[in-house]
Amino acid sequence: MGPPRSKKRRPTFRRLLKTSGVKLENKLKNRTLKQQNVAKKQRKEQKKLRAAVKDAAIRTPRPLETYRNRPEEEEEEEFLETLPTDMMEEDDVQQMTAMARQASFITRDLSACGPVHGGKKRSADAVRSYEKVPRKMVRTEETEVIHLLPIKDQRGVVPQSVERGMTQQQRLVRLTEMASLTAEQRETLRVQKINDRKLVIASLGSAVVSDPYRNIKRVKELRGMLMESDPSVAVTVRKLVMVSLMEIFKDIAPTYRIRPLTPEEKAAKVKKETQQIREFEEGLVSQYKFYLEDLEQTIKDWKQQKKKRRQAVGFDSYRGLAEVSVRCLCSLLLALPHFNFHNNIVVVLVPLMNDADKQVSQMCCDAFRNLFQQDKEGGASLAAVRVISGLVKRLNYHVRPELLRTLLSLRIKEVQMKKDMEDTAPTKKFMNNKEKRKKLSRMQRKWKKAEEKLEKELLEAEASESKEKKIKLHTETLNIVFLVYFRILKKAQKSVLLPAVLEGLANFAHLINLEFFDDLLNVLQNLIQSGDLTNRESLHCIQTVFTILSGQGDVLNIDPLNFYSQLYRMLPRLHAGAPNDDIIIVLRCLDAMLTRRRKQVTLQRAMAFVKRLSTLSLHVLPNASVGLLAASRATVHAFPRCDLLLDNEVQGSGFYLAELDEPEHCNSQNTALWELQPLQRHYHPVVRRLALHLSHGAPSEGSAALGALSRKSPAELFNAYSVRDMTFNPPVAPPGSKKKKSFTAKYVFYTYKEFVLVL
Amino acid sequence: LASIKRQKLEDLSVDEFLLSGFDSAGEGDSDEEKGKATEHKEQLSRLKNKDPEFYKFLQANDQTLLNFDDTDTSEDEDEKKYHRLPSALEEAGSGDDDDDEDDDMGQKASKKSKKAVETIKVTDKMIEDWKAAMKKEPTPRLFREVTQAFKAAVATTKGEGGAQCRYKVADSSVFNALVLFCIRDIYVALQRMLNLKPDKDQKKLVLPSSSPKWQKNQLDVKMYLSGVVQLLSCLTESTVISAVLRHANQLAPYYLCLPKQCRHLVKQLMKQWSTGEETSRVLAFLALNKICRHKQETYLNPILKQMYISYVQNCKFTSPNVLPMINFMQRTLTEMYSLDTQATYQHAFIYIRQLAIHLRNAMTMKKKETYQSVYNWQYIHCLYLWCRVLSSLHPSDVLQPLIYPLCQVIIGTMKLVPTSRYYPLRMHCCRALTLLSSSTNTFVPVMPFLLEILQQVDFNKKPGRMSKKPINFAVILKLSKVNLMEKAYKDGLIDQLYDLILEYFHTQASSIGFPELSLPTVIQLKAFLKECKVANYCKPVRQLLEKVQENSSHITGRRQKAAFGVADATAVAAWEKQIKEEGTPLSRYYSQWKKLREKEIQLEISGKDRMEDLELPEIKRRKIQEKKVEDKKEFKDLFESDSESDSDDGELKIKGKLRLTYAHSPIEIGMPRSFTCGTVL
Repeated sequence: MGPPRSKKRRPTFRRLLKTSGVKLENKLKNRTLKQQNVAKKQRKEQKKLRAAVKDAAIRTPRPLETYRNRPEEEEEEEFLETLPTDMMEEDDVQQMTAMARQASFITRDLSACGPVHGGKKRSADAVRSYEKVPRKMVRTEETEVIHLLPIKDQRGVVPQSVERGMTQQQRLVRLTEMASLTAEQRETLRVQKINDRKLVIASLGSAVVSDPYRNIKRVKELRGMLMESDPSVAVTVRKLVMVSLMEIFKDIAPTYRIRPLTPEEKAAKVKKETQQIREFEEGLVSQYKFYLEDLEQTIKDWKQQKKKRRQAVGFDSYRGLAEVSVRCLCSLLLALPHFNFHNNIVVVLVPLMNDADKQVSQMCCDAFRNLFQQDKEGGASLAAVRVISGLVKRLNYHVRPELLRTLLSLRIKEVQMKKDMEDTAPTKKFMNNKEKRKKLSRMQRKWKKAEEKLEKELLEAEASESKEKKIKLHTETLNIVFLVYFRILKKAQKSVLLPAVLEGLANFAHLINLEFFDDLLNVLQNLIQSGDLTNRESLHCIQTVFTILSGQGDVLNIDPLNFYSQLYRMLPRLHAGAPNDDIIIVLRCLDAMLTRRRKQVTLQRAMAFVKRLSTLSLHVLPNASVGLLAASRATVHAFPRCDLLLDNEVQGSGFYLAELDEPEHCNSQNTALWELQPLQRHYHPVVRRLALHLSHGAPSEGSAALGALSRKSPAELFNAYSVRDMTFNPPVAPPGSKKKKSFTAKYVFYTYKEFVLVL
Repeated sequence: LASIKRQKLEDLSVDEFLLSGFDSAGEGDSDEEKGKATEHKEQLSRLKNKDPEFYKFLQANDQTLLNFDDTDTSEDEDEKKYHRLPSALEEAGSGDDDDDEDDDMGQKASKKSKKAVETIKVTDKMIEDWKAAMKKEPTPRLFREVTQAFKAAVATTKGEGGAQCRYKVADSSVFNALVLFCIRDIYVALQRMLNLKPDKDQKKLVLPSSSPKWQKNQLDVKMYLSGVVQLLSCLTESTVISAVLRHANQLAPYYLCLPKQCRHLVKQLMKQWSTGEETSRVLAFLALNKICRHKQETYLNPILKQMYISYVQNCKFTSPNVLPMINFMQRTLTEMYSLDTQATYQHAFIYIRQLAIHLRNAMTMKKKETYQSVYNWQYIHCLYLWCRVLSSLHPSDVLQPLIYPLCQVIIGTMKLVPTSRYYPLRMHCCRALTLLSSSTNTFVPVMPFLLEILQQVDFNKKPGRMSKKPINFAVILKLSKVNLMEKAYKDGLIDQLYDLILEYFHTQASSIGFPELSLPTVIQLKAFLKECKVANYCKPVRQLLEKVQENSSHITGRRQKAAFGVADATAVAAWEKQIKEEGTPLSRYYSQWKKLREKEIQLEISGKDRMEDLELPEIKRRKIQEKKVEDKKEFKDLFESDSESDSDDGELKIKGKLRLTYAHSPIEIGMPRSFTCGTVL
């Protein structure tokens, strides 16, 4: 049966790493040596066994235990292979196959079963092996029975099995030892063991960190502790090792990516120091890789709910271990974005963002959000976004909205649109090159090439990311993001992702390419008119539309009247309850709709909006009131004729129709802003002030002037007066008059200060 | 023997009699019969039913038999009681004695000598003599004797032997007579003895310490006052407590001169104010108020603090029976806060801040335990209390700045967990905000929180289960999951929303911005009517909508004709005032509706009194009272004592008034500016 089973798994990291030739050679050598050893052992085994079989034939039958007690070596498979099968007779074979079948179902009790290795389990005596296991200790001690090929003697076929690891006696000794201890003693023993391990970890870790060049081998030792086998401390120790290794790698990893050496470089003779550095780098990379593999494997085991053989860790601890692994990976993702295998980390973590386990997905989403926010160069973001887009597509848009929300954290606002547009046409550039080739002479081309090369080198020497490259990366990232968004808009309009998509579109609207505008506007219009959207989603749509239109979209000659009406209709639906927070979007929309597009807006419309905004400010929390009043103020400034609303005179015909949802036709010129009167009695001082200011026609001087408040935008005001964390802004005023007695005065002063501090 | 007296004291009919005797002059004789008969009331009544003639005979001739039985049975029990009760009060009392002894060496000596002598047993005869002497000419010596006897009597209530007293009160009848005598006559006697005359200015209190004879008699007065406090501390029957409280109220000027006794008194008053019966609560409040008014600088701050704390402690649980008491405490506490707005600002500032801190913790932690520190009755009642305080003291520059933080805290409380299970809590908050906004003329957005409920609940959905009884939204904060499925929940919700919306719009009915204020409501109600298919719900909503629209068009029409602009605040104020005086459609409808509603609530309350499944202890108490009334009737027949029945009626009158004054009705928000103590007494 096949060559000796490789002890190491074949994880995905391996494929991605080009290990140095030396290493591979070493490995090959090791393998052959091992095989030789194994062969020797096998021969010995065979001899012994043959002798035993002979013995068995001669002696009187013995109880089975004696067979089991016989010390067995590990390589049972090889042993089996060498057994001469021709010794068996037909019916024996039949019986054996029956037994084998039996073994695979009955004897494999679930606690001790591992991955199915067909050849391993041959036969067993179910009852007896069950009887063997002391009932008390089932949980802590797992017996693993290896079913061997049966032996045939005069009495027929005798089933055989061996226990793995310790012999019966050893186990018994240990069991009695354990049983003799009380729970308390066991606990102290455990604590002691953990402390020992901690000391080992600490000494190894400090050795590595103090001199990484010399002590890179220690990392390997430390990594060995990940295979901690003592069941009482295994979980804790593994977690500790994972976290400490993570910290060590964070500390000792260089600030550049380590690349594998070329054969020439390897062949060339180098200085001693260089050689040392090379060794360090090589060791670091390989250890890092193995470490990452281990983490990934832990997560995989947890996901697949797979019980490993000889695993000293209980089933329940998997989750904890996996969580720690995810945490380590997340912090490595953030700490070492430039280093090797970053992509692999991304590949591992992205699917976990969509994990069913809320904690894990939360952790991953947070990590990516932070990555996007931190990432200055854009490379890491691009890689992450690529993988995310792939995942979303692969899962057919059945992903958590949180996953898409992470994209909102991308820092792409700094990109210049012009560059973006040029870069999105790489084909054009290519054509340019071709054209150049046609136009320029050979010498010129050569010259140009040299020049380019020189520039490239210069840039490398500069060692700074050029802005151009960054923008290129950003553009590519954004393209992928928009691709995801548009795909969802097109294919999965009903999915839960729609709010996240609309929010994202609103966020990046100013970066959308001109060519998409027409389609996008149509889609958004249809969405809004379908009436399925919540207020918030509609507001995002409107915000997107107007951000587009106020940016490059101003070349498009569209009057988005429909969207004005939409917003106008939506205003009375907002109130101080849950939708209070949506008003920030309204404020952003208003800025684009009324202030920036004042040339395209009629006075009728502006007045209708001012009226409705003031009405709305009666029904929202103070921060929103302040924001809305400030927006009205901006509109009044943009349309000075709005002062009609402050007089009580009828202009022309018709009554004001408050409930009509068409801003153009509601006769807003025939009403007045009477709501400013109740607002001047508002409980919030700032609202009172703004209302007074507006009722006097928003003057810039005089008693009703605003002062410092006027310099803030409505959205800023909204955030400044937010009561989300129960802050009192403005602070509560101290008592106006002096206290009668000094001690009370002091008292109040003190509490006032505290009030301001605490609240 | 002391045990007997104590037992008597706790006995109901004795106490009843004590009070009645106090009210009707010179009826000291009949107390014996009444006291002894208590144990056998039932027997007697049964007997009376069976054989009235024999009963009468027995009553006339064989009193002693009954008496004998009475004392016999009670003695054993009480002795056991004393073994179990090593009372702390006892020590306090002796501590007082020590004080007295330290104060005056001469008296100490005399006391010692007295101790050696056999203690004198107080008899009815002695009391009669004292009484007569007091009437004639109260002397310090006489007063001292009476005080000693009183002290001895009080000592028996704690089960303490009269070891340190000169006198010994051995008989319950003597005890009653003595206490009655003291309560009735001592105050006048003291006034005469110290030569105190009421000031010309009725408001001003004459402090006894101003009298030249004060120094001489201070010790005896002190002893007497501590005796009264002690007596108060161990009484359990409400009518007696009321009598003693009245006495303490009279003696308030004396207490004011003795800080230590005053502190003890305040403690007792606090207990009565927060946990006692209705009458005793009122009396305790009056005494507290008196103390605060006349010595503000020393007592106001600590008393306010203590009152607030005991208010918070005693509003943990809210039921239909407790609600009037909590309301009473709110009102009286408001009255106290009105004494000094500066001090009130400090208190309100600190406690509102405390509420805000609780809320902020709940907001940041977002855990069940932390938000339960906000979502409880104590928190809500505190919010309500401060709303009351700020609204009843409204035109006050000092307290004006506190409206803003209080509103913010209440709105924050509503928004903390805005789920349907906490709708009742939200309604309480809305009610508090409506009160605050209407009486302080401040604008607070309340409507959105009410309309949100209308939006969130699907009224078309068939209720999952039928319910037995309607949900009383006034006494719950949180609905159970089962409640949410009931029909009663939706019925109640519509009812409450109707009340609240109408209430709020009523307060804003004459505002010039009413059409704008009601616009979202109109839109919302129209949408509701379009959606809703349950006729029972549509009817009130349609009615509400009509009224709101009517009012809205009324205001619109009126303001169209106005000749001033938006900026003219004074003209607007005048206009609003005029509109208010003229009355708006909504306010007219409101007053009409409110009358009906009040009637309904009165019915509900009286219905609740009859309902016997709510609170067991409460019911028990009522039963006893009823029984008492019955007994009294019987006795009235027996002894034909008119005075008793008079006093009885008087008491009932007081109770009736109290109920009317303090009965809580969910819609009744505004309170009279000043608390009318006079009518109660």
